[in-house]
This record gives sequence, C-alpha cells and structure tokens, in this order.
Amino acid sequence: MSERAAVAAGEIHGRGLGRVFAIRLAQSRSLKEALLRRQLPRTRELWALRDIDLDVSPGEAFGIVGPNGSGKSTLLKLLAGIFAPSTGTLGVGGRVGSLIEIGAGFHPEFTGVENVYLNAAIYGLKRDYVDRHLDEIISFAELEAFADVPVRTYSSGMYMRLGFSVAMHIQPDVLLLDEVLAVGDEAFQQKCYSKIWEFKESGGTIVFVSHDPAAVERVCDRAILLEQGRCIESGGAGDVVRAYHRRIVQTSAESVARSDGASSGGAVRVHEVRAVGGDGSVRERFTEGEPMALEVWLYAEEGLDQGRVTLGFRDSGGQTLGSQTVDRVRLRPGRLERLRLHFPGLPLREGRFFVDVGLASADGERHLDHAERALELSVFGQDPGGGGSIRLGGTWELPAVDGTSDG
Amino acid sequence: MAVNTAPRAAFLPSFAWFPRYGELLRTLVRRELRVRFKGSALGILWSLLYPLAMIAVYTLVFSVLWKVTGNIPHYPLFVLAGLSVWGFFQASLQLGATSIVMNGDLIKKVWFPREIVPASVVLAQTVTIGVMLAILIPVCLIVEPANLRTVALVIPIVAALLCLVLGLAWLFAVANVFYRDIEHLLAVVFLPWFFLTPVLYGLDQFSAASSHRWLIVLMRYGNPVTPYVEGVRAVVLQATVPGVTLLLYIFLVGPLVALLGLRVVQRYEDRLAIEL
Repeated sequence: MSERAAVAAGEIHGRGLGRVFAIRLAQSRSLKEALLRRQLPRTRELWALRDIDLDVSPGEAFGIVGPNGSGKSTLLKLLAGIFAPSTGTLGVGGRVGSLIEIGAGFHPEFTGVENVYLNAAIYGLKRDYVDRHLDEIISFAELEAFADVPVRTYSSGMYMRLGFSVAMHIQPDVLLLDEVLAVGDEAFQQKCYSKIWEFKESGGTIVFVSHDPAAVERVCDRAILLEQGRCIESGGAGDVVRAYHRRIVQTSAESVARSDGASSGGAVRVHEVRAVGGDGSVRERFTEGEPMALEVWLYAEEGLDQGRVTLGFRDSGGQTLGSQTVDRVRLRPGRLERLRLHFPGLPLREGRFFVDVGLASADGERHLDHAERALELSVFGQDPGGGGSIRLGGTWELPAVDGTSDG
Repeated sequence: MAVNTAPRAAFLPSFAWFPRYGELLRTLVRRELRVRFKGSALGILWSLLYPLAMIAVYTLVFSVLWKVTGNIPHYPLFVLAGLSVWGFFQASLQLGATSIVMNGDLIKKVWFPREIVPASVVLAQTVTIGVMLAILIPVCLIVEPANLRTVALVIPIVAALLCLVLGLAWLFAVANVFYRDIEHLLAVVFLPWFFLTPVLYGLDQFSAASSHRWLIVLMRYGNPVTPYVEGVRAVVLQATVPGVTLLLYIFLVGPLVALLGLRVVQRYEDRLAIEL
C-alpha cells in the first residue's frame, strides 16, 4: 500500500511510485443499466506509472518529458495529491501551487476576482491575505479590465494568466507546471519565465512538464524521460532532452521506414511540419488572412552549421504557389530544433493547400532532406468577391463621391 | 495542500482538514447563497413564496373544502412546520447530489477535501429552514404560548436533521459520480416520497392507525425524514416532547448517516477525480 511520507517544505521524495487505473470498458454510467444487466461495468487495469523514483530539493527545477500518454500528467497529479499512488511512497513538502490544466480550480460562473478568492481558499489561504494581494494578482495577470467578468467569457490565454498569477502569489513551496504556459502570448510567457526564475532563485521547487523540450531545458536543472509509464532516462535536463529527441527521431524514422519501405532516416532530417494559429494552437484549418505560422522541426544527429531551409505552398492541383528560403540555419547536434515562418496574415484564399519543406546545405548544392506535402491546410474564405488562390491583401482607396465637395 | 491528502480512508472519517479549509467552505457557501438567493434578502423572500403558496393551497383543499383536517389544530402552521423540514431536505439532497459532478472542473484539477462541495450546498440551504422557522416559531408562540416550554429543543433536532441531510447528500453526490442517472432517479422519487412523509397529515390522525399499527411504524421509522418532521412539529407547535424512541432515532440516525457519508466520500475520493 502507498503512504505519504512527511518531508521538509519544498522537498519531494518519491520511491517506487506506481499508479494503476481501472478503465471502464463500457462507457455506461447509468444505474438503470447496471441494475438491468445485473453486473458492474467491466473494467481493465492500466498502469499509467510504474516504479518511478524522484527526489527534488528546494531551489531545484525538475523537468518531466515524454510523449503523449507516457504518464507525465499522471505523475504531476500524484504530486498535486489529486490521486494517490497505488504503490510506493510519496512525500511533497509544504504548500503546493499547481497550474496543471488551464482553469484548474476556477469556477466558470465566478468573476475573475471571485475565482482568485476561491482559488486561494483551495490552497488554504485566508481571505485577508487575498484582500491584501488582490490588486497585485490581477495586475500581474493583466486582467484589470476583466476582473469583474465571469471567467467563462475569458480566452484560454486569460485563464492561464489568472491561473499563473494566483499560483505564483499563494507563496507556494512547490510549484507544479504543466503545458499551460504555451497558451499565453510571447510577452506574457517571458514574464512567466522571469517570475519562475525569481521563484526558483528564492528557493522554490519547480516541477515542470512540457511537450516543448526546449522549455524544459531552459527552466530545469534535472529531468526524467517517461515512456509508457516508466522512467527510461534521468539526469541533467540537457542530456535527458537530447535522449528524448533521439528517441522521437528514431521511432518516427522506424515508422516512416515501415510505411514507405524506403528509409528517410538520414543524419539530417525534417522531423515534423505543423501550422500554428495566432492563439498558439496547432491546427490544419485557417481563415484567410488569419495570423499564423508554419513550424518546422529539424533534427541533425551531428549538427548542421549552415543549412538552407525552403518552405513552399502548393495548391490542391500540385501547382507551386510560392516558396520562401532562409539561409544560415544552425542546428545543434542531437536535438530537435524548431524554426518558424510567421505570416501576419495567411496569404491564401479558400481551398486546400500543401506545404513542402526542403533542407539543403548552405550553397544549395547538397539536398539533405525534403518533405513534400508535409502538411495539408484547409483555408476558409472571407471575401466572396475575390478569386484565385492567393490572397492579395491590398487595401482599396476609392474615388471621392462626397456630394458636397463636388457641388 | 498536498501533504495530508492521500490515504484518508481510516475507519473513522477524518476532520483534520477543517481548520485549513474552513475558508474554502465559507467561500463556497457564500457563492452558493449568492447563486440560490441572488445574495439578497428579497431573494430569500422569493424562496419563501413557493412554500407559502403551497400552504395556502393545501389549507384550501384539505381544510376548507375537504374538511379532513378537523382534528388538526392550526392546520396552516402544521403544514408550515412539516414543509420547513421537507423543503430543506429535498432541496439539499437534489442540489447536493449533483454538486460533485457540477464542480468536476475543480475536483479533477486541484486537491481539497471533497466533502466540502456537497457540504457547502447543504449549509447554504439551512437559510431556508432558518427563515421558515423564524416565521413559524413566533406565530406558534402567539397562538399557543405553551410552546415556549419545548421550543428550545428545535435547535438540537434541526442540528441532527442537518447531520442526516449532510450524510445523505454526501452519499448521493458520490453515487451520482459513478451513476449519473441518480440525480434523475431522485427527482422522480421525491414526489411519492413527499406524500409518504407526514407533511400534509399526521400519522396518528388516521382512523386506520390503530388497525394497521405496523404500517404506521414502517412509515414513521422506515422514512428517515419522518421523525424529524414529527420532532420539529412536536416541539414548535404541539408543546410536547417527542417520545423516547423518536428522540433516540432523531439523535442517533442523523449523526450516524453523516459519519457514513463522510466516510464514503473520503473512501472514494481518489476515484472521484478519475471518474469525473
């Protein structure tokens, strides 16, 4: 059986942590059906975590990386106490602030201010403490204008800002951070990172989970890599992140090799191409003229000093619409690196489009890798009067037809 | 926050959280009051409108037209006393049963003692019974000054009722997480339950009471809310102290159900976050 060990504030000690879930095979949640069938829903056991050891000291930032479904969030929820470990012992010392999911601990019908009080009460803080810090919390979140509006009307970025601000102002000893930071805009993210840094400097403990290994590397001292609920690598954050990248590239190369029969798993590769909306969401559907970016993930086993990357659009007929090239791309060895091409407004009109990516040596002589039709985009039109595939995006200036001036 | 969370499933439920999470309970009760009564005295008056209108209708039908209430003195007060208990019981359980599911977002993502959520709903509902008794008791004292001798007993009886309601709310709230149709079943069950509870009539009033003794006993003790209805009515309106059996029932069942409910919430707390 599990037990919760007592530890000093800001310390985390976990030994042999495991968590099993009983997954209901039938989705029924009705008592009527259970009674009619005269049996409880069948369940299957699923170990989301197995044999995890971790020790984190005050002032340390600890990262958890791994693919989706590897148990990162489960581990974070164990640390937050949302559920107990099925095996092993876990001790988390002091007050734990968590930003586990966007809007964690918020009630949609409450206003921003009321949610601050609710959240603080959940963390066990007294009302007068919040009274004293309310302005600070709201202004850090940059929500002065929305403080008295129910949070259900907030955007995901506003949710995150409020959640982050509360979590930072409750004087936590341990701060748990999930992917949430990715939601905010760039400026606020910077603000968050400096606040996190400040927190760490003052002796706070951080556990940080992210899809974005670069962020883990930036924030954390040490990290573990999870795969299928087990820890397969632990050590310095940089080493773990490199191990993670290597694994991603290997597994994707294997799957490519399996599907094509031909291996494209060279030493320098285009790993993934994604489209990111102005709100930070990864998707394939856009509105014409919407701000967005194309994101390319590249991997070079030995590193690459001077690379040339070409990104191009083609229409559904295969016709190239345009491409753009960037030189002097440097890739560090053994890690996934991201580059982005930002569009203030997506220059495409209604239709289906494909994105091609090419990676070449600096002089363009040597073709290193390319991904044709790496991404398919659906664009929805806004201007029914226009035509063609390209959004011209110009602004009109019309002749003056003001009655009085013409006499 | 997370330190003392994990296995709280000891034999007796734990109250260790209370000093730390009292503020959260207060916050949630305040919210509940605002949602239910729009935070105003007028809102509370509105919540009285329905029971008062029902009392008028029941009095008209049973007392004036049908004339079956001849042996019940002060029939409107008799009904009001019963309705104060029943209304609190029903509203608390109906809202309490859905409370954990409704607050799923909170429960899935942050840890705090889960029992606080149904408790806040029930505690907010005490306002209704409080206001109804605040109207009922002075009137009863005026029409029957002898009630002064017993009326103080209403406090422990209502406290025991609160325990019963809390316990049932905890049980239903947890059950409703696992079987989401429980709240609908409850809604269906409450109407017959109301008529089986002696709100509009008294159990001893029927001529059949002497010939079907066991039926009366079953109706009195098989329905957990009945002893509380009779208890409140006895001390507020009839200037009598309930019999020993009834008193024992009132002061044992309520706290025991509360302990059971609390124990169930704490026992299943771990699975609530997963099932939601």
